[in-house]
Amino acid sequence: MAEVEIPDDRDLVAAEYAIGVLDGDEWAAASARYDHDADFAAEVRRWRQRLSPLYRDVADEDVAPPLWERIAAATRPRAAPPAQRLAAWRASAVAATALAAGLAAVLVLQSVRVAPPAEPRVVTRVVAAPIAPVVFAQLLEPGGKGNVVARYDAADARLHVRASDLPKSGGTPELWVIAEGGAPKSLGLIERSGSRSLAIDPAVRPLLRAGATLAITLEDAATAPHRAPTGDILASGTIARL
Amino acid sequence: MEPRRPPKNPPPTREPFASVADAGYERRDNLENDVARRRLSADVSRVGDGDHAAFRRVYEQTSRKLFGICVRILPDRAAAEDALQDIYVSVWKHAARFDATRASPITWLCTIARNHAIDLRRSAQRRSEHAEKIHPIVAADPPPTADAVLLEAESERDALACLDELKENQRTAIRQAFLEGLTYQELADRSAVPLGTMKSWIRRGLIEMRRCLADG
Repeated sequence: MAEVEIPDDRDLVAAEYAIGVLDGDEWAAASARYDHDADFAAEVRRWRQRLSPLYRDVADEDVAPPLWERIAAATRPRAAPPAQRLAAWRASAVAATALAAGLAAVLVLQSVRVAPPAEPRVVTRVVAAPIAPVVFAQLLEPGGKGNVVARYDAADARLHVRASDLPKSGGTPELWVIAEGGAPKSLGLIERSGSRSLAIDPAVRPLLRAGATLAITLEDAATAPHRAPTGDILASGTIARL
Repeated sequence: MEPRRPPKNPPPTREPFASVADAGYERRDNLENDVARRRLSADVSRVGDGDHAAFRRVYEQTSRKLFGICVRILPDRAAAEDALQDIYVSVWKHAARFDATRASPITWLCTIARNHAIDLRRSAQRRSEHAEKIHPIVAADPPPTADAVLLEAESERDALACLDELKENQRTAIRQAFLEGLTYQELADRSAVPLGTMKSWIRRGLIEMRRCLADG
């Protein structure tokens, strides 16, 4: 067979990710990029939108009736969905502390409600893998190149952190966990580029759960770990459960 | 609005959105079509306000379609059912993000379903190949973007016309990739062609589509 010429077009990665042909490392790289590169994500969504008429080619499939019961059980309004609970909590917290400052309350409520992305992502569960609780977070440096991936495995209580391209000056990167409504707790220093495995103190372990925030600041290595951050947040991300 | 260039191939017959056809969704009658879309849009918006009855209506109107998408991408019906449950629970939680002014409700739902099914399929594949590797799964909202206006600017009809202009092998491969979640390698295996040939078909097809859409 004659040699085929494969067009090499970097702009096509968004289209390839959108139609779903990538696999392995290429898929994982594109998936991570979708999460933090707004232009790339927009291009992916454009391609998905372009191809959406193809959904008409999909034949319907009957769903077993019990599935609705499972979904209903998981969504009964009795327990308000977390987003609403959070909004209510924030609203009441704001009302209690800033009753006179009506403007502040409005701003906070709006920050909860606006800026919707077009496509919520369902947090992925791996299908056939019974595993101890494992949580992940990806931390990104806005406007910079820095990128940190953290994986916490409850089985050995260690947080595996892989960083790349964090700033070379201004201090040593220190990792913090911030529970909803809580104060930052130091998890220790991490590499600027490279991997490190941090043993997590028993008192801090319960904080490493889905929904909490991980953040990085640049601090003085000589006095670490610190009780509280002094630097600005360099990168942050939300923990998701696998 | 007519596509500016007549398609070389006649458009293939397309199955309608049968699960929403009861409400007249896919009929030629534009008025009924519009009414059905508005009704579904309104129900999805109500779900965003926590209206569980509206949620049930949305489920009844769309679940067979979304299950059809999951079944084609995932290995078995049990996996597809688990995925469908996650999808609707997520819709319940995030329906407030649906913006009826910029998205068709059925397309929005189909996109959520397909994205999730493909994520599951790729994660499972990747896990079996590279069990030790870290794969970041981020639940945080992606950064807000200003692309929404552009999305609706290209009509679906133009995109379909451009797809229909592709060579048969290109069109089929892109279709199978999109609807069945097949990778380059899986597509190559299925068509019994070398991987390079399949990459060439699809990339040329995508480049051609991009050119066709840009030309209008």
